[in-house]
Amino acid sequence: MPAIPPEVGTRAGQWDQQNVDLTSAGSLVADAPTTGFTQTVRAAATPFLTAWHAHVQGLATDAEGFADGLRVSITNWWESDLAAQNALTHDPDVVTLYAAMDERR
Amino acid sequence: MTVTLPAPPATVPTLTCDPASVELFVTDLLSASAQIDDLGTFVPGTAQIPAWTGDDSVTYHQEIKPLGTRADAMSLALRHVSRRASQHATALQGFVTTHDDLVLRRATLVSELNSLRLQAPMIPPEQLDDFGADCTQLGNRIAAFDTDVTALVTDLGAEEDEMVAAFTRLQTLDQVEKRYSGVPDPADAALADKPPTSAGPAAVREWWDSLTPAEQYAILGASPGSIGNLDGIPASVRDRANTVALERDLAMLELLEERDQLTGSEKEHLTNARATEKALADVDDHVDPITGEPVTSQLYIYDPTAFNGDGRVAVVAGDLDAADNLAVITPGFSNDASKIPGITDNALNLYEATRVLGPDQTTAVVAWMGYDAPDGWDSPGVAFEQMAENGAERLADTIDGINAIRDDDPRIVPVGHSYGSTTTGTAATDHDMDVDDFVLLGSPGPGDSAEHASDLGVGSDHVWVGSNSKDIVADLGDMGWVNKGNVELGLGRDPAEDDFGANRFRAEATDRGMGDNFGDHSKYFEHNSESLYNVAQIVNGHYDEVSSADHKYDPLFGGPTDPEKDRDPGTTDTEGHN
Amino acid sequence: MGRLHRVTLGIGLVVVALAACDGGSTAGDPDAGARLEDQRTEVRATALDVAPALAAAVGGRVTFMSGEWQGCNIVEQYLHRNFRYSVSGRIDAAGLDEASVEVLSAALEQQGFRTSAVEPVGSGRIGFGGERDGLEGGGTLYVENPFVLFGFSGPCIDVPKGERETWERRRDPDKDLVPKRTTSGG
Repeated sequence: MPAIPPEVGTRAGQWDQQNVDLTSAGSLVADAPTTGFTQTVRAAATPFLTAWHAHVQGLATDAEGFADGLRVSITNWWESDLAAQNALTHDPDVVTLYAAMDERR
Repeated sequence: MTVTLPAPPATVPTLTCDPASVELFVTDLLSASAQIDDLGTFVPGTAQIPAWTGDDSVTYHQEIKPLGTRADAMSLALRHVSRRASQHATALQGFVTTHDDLVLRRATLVSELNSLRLQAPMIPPEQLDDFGADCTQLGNRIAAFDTDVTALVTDLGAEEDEMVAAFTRLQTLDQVEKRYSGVPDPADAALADKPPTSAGPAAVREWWDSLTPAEQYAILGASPGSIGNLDGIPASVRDRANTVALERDLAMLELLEERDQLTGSEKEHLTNARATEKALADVDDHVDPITGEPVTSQLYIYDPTAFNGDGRVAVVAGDLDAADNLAVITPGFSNDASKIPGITDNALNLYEATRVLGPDQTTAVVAWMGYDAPDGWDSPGVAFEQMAENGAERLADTIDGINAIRDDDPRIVPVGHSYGSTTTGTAATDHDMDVDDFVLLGSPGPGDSAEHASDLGVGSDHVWVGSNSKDIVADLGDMGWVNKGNVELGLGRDPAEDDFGANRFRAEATDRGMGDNFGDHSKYFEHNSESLYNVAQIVNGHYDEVSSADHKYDPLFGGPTDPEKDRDPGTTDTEGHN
Repeated sequence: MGRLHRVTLGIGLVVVALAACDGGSTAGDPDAGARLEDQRTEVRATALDVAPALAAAVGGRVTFMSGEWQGCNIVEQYLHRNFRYSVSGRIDAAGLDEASVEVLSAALEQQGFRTSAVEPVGSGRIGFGGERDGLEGGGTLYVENPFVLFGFSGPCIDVPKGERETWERRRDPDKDLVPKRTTSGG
């Protein structure tokens, strides 16, 4: 199995951050005030926001999926290549990867 | 002869809407769009892992690509709807104005009609012709009025239809991808031509003006950070860009707070973002004392993580793009972005005072926390000089930026308080600033290079000093033949002394303390104080209205003397209440 | 070597003092909160009662009127020790001139205010005012392009030290007594 570069761990963390950013973007859409519109327009704005909240949440979920996917790749490599594990225990790259397994968000 | 009274004017339909609230809707959508745009940039950029090989890598790179494409299309779609809503808010504002005008016109027409009705039974036959002419004339005005009411209803209906269509045409992902998938972002080409910061604010202004409105809005949605703090960009645009950034920060950091996942620096970031939000809300909550309209707020600088987390923020009370008179308040010791609500309160007081004392002039006051002020721990010795010099350069850049966005020649008055007066004085001596007057309040000294008021570059007649006699900080500067020596107390000369040659104005606090104290150092912006009254008159350019104070002096025999100590403080009206 | 290169002992002391300032030792009125709430009710009622009477006296109308909590005296940077409630507004009338200020003062007196002398308060502005049951009321007539600004305020009340920040942040969510716009447009 090819070795996993440390960037994979870094990317996992960055996809986590995308998840946070997009979840908060979804909240912005969901909470956007419609009270300023006339009643006619408000009636169209409300379903628009509901639909878009779901669209943005979909992006957030996908982002988290990629973060988790990268972590699975790291785990698989780690577990399948015991020799590499033993050899690289003190390698800073491996330490970086190991840190990425600790999902912050 | 028969005279027919005209029919009553049409009823003006109720219009229930709030354009300002629609603008909040716009900002929320634009902020979300910017966040999604970042994902679109992330996928083909940072998310790539070229060094990674193998099946997992191939799968990863294949699967993220459509997500990036979808994000790009979604950000363009959401930005489009946001822009349409912004245009809708502008249109609504116009309808509200027309509506209000029609309500007033109708009241007048009804009153005149009632008057004719009352007169009708008593008109003698010989005056019937004149009466008939009056009726015809009123009838014509009512007909014109009815036409305007119909036009309002028609125009409003058409505008509503277009806004509704904007929502319904881009509601599903299919609709979004059909219309925007693969469409290039107009922001990319526009940003490619952006001049470097070193080109100066005039070049930035020229670039911005060369863009189409669509390109300008695209940049707001795609890259608000690239223009939010860029000198030469109009204040209203910077406000929109920075508000988008603020909304994003608050949404993201509050989510982390909710999850109990904030790091130490993120906590500081959130504190600064919330302080900025509060300062803006305070401005929005105030009404102009002359017009009764809400005071315009502008977020001119928003960089909440600058200076190792102290933050860099400037909030404006008023419209920096259009006001006649501009003041820039630079605060002093112990200030950072978390204090921006207090600095903004001072700016609001000055705004209100300038309006009350000069109702025919408009004002914008900047609460400028745009530099790294000493906070007590990073402050001794050399750091003071460096902080003043760095702050001075940033203040001079801000002033240059303001001059670049104005085609006219507004009055500009930097107002430095405490160490902010050192920063302001240093900016004046070290940089070529195009301003009209300087005001130094509670000054421990205007910096090393200012030996005399004339060194500030605007003529000593235009250097104004407010120094209350109980302010212990204002006593720190050098005076007369007394150079306080190697145990340096101040930051240059005392600008209130006679030898410095500035105009000293009355600035005693209404409730001044018994002896020298720190409390009186913070009272220069209190309503109804001599100080606020005089600063407002200076900002308005009403020099004759400024009440002068005798200078401090340092006789050869005896210690430094402040004649203001023996004068009873007066009160003034800066609120219009008398 | 420039002055600024030397140790700035005095400034250091100032910075520390400003950072550590305890905000004075005034205990404040423990009932300040309730008193300020009562004051809000009283000042708003007075303004709603008296401002239209002033406007009527000069044949005009109250164009807008709103109230808000205000800090009175600063005790340390950005922090007041006492607060009051204040209402501000504007009167417009067709025939306003310099003589109108005497009419306004008389109208204020008729409302039970003990009025002070009418006097110029600066270039082109004439002030009038008075006091009733501890509340101040008054205004300014702008002589050119005439209109009147007016205000009503309660007395400043010291609040306990621990409540100062709360009052500093306090906003009145129902501040408008007469909103600027008379229609449902805004």
